[in-house]
Amino acid sequence: MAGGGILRIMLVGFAALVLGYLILPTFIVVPLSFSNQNYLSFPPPGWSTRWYEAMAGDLAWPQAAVNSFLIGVPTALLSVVLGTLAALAVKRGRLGWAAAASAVVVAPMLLPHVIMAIGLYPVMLDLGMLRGFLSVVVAHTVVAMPLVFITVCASLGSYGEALELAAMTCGAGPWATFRHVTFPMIRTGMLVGGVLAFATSFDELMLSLFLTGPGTRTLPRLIWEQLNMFLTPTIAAVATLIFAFSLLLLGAAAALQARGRAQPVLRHG
Amino acid sequence: MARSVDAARPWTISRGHAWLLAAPLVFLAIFFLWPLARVVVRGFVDPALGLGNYARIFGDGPYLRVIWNTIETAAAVTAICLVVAYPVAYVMARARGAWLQIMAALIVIPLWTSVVIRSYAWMVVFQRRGVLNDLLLGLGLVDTPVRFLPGSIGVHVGMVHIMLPFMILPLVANMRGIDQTLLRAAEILGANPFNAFLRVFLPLSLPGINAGVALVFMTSLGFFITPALLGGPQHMMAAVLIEQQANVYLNWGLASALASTLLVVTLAIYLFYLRVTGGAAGTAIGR
Amino acid sequence: MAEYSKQRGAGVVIEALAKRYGEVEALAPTDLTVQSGEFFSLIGPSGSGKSTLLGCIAGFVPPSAGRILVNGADIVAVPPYRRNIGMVFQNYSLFPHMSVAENIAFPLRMRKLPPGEIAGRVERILSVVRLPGMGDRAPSQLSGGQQQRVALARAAVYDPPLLLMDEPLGALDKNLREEMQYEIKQFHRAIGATVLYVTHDQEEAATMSDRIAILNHGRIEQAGEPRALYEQPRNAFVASFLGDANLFEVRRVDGAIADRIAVETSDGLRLVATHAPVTVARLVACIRPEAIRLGNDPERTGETNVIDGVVADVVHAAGSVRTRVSVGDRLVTVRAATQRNVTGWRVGEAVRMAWHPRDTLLIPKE
Repeated sequence: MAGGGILRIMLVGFAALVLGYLILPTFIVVPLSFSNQNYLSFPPPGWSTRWYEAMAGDLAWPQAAVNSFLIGVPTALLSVVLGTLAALAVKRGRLGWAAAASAVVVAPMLLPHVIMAIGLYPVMLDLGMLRGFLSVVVAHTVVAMPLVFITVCASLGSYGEALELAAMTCGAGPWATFRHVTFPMIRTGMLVGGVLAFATSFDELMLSLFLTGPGTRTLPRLIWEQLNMFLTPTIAAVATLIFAFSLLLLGAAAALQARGRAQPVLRHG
Repeated sequence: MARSVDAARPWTISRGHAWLLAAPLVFLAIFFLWPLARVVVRGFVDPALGLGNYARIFGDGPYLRVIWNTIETAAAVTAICLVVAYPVAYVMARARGAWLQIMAALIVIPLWTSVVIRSYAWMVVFQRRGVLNDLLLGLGLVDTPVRFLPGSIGVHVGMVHIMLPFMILPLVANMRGIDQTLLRAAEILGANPFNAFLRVFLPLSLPGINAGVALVFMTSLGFFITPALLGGPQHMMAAVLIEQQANVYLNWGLASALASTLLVVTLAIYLFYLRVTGGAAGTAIGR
Repeated sequence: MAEYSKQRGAGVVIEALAKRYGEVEALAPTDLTVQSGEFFSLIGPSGSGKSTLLGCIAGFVPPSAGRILVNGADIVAVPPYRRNIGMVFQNYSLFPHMSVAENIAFPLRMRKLPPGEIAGRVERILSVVRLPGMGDRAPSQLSGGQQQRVALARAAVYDPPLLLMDEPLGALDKNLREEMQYEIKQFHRAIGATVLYVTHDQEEAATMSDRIAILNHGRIEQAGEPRALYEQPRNAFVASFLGDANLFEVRRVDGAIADRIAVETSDGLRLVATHAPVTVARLVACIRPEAIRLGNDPERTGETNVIDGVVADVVHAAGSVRTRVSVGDRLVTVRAATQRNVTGWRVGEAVRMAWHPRDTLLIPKE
């Protein structure tokens, strides 16, 4: 603002400090993973790749990574289908209760996961699905679907319904309208939503704690168990790899959105 | 063309679209609403029908302390986030081009980093022989390492770190929509920059503040990983207690009653959030 | 082009069509008949129900009651994609991910025409709308007027007997709009379809239409040929909406000569007319600005309306002079064609206005 040269410098300096704080954990974890010590001193006195070797030598890690993918990918697919259906109905259906429906769809993302976890546990037990992949996929879909819903709603909001009405007057039935007009317009939103849903599942701990068993243990759950036992730089090595993978996902989502015309990715965690 | 001669029921676009909601709503009814209903009921019937669980929670005991601590911590985290995020959002809302990109990246990258991993990093910072103690010892500020863990400092720092982007993003979204000429107009009309900010900019940014505060407070109430790893028994929060009661002590009735209490508080804030965001659920997003 | 003129437009009959949103009556029970091949405009201020009516016909708005007969068959229950009606939207609504040719081919593909025939038809209609060779462009590469022509082509390529247009020229600037009015009119003659045209621009409607319906507050105030609406408005709203009008609230008084009718305003201005609605007590006198002559001293006869006033302002617009004369606390607008070597009146000058009694239109107040 005018008259505030010093104020301005202070503001920018403060912002820089806060952004530094936000990025700090990354700058600790990554170097730590290359430490040659078995205790967590920082900065590491020397460098090595021994913790990556230790990680590779422990079969539990690749197993957990595979499980996370086996859960994350179906979660993303299911979320995309259900989230897109809900978004279409809410944004295009002219339903009187659209606001109520979207409140119900978004709620699972914002309510504490622990409540859903202790509620889903007996339900999965009754359905005989407990500790199987399906139970975690379903639970993760409940909390990941809102992300697809929101990104697809944003895509649908970026153009008017007149486009679909135009297709209908041209003689396109509901399915043809979706295939030829709506889908090409929201494809990017669906993809980005799917990536976000996968990322949510990939990072989810609470539901996995209650619903996974030894055979379906996910990466976050394994890290969690290890953290509660010993703090070795092996976890830093795992964390670094996960971090690199997350950056890849983020890059993919950002690239998708740069190509499409959907909402900027920074709007959506 | 017209296939029927009976009293024509008008064709409407809503009918088909209502059916699209069937699958998501059935899915949510079975795997979201039904489990929530079971939690609420179980709080009243397990181990015995009645208000026993609630008597234990609200009778003056450790459980009530945990609930208060949860609300206190969530409130503190929200307040810190608001105070820290507001200037950052202000700077970001005026940034252009490459600077904006860099700031956005620095906010989004942690958002995409696993919460478990970020809490692990704070453990490394705050542990007895960690980064912070090395720094304090090196500067000669303390003679012996300070014991930060487990404790509330770690919990607050870790939670603020996770929640900060959720405060910054709605604020930026809101501030970018504020017409800068209004501020100039206020200054031309004789307001000094401070008054122009206080009387014009701040009230206009209120929707962003409301959305951010509701989002951060609601999410903070349910925090599990950070307090569990950094807080320990001294700084217990509701989600940790619930998980422990269910998973460790198999005390599902009490866990359900605690969860129902948490649910009621969170739902109240969710309704507020829906109102301040104009029913458009999810202008900004939690994980 | 001959191919497009073969078909006949559909006759449209609307019976007691109504639309309510809760308490709000968007469209009061409405009857309307549009002849085959007619160019029919719906005009009115925003919120008057004209777009609701069009939406009901297109199928986007489910009516609360009533029937819509196209060539005798009720289409209310028929989904839009089976109504075989063409529609041009306000912002063109071209599919941004398809080329111009793909846009125009879309309705033909939906009708499962063989690819060879689709290509031929697209080619032909592109030349009808004067965009030959532009098929490979993306809609975003075209100007507003060109996009509008693509939208026209897409709506008409499958020979729908009824074409709906929802403020199709609303997004264009004035010059282009006038050019497009002419082109749409030409296009209408070429394809022969019935056209229902929604606009809020009364001049546009008057220029293009065979008949016009004027809507207000969800009901049709009057329908008819543009000239009839202008010369015999049924009420004050129609009189003021279509063209400019000087309106005076009056009541009947005695003392007219022969078959003339005398009326008087509350502040004592006395006017003479030739016709009046019989049954209505409260009247509005409407005098069109171009019916009034201005002079210093026109001869005073019992048959002529004469009012003295003072020139308040003079505006020279393209082709005409608009003079406003203050009479008491009201302003009367007078318009005359610009004449060479004739200077207008000066502000402040005393002036006498005169017009023939048949130009005093007496209409019911409500």
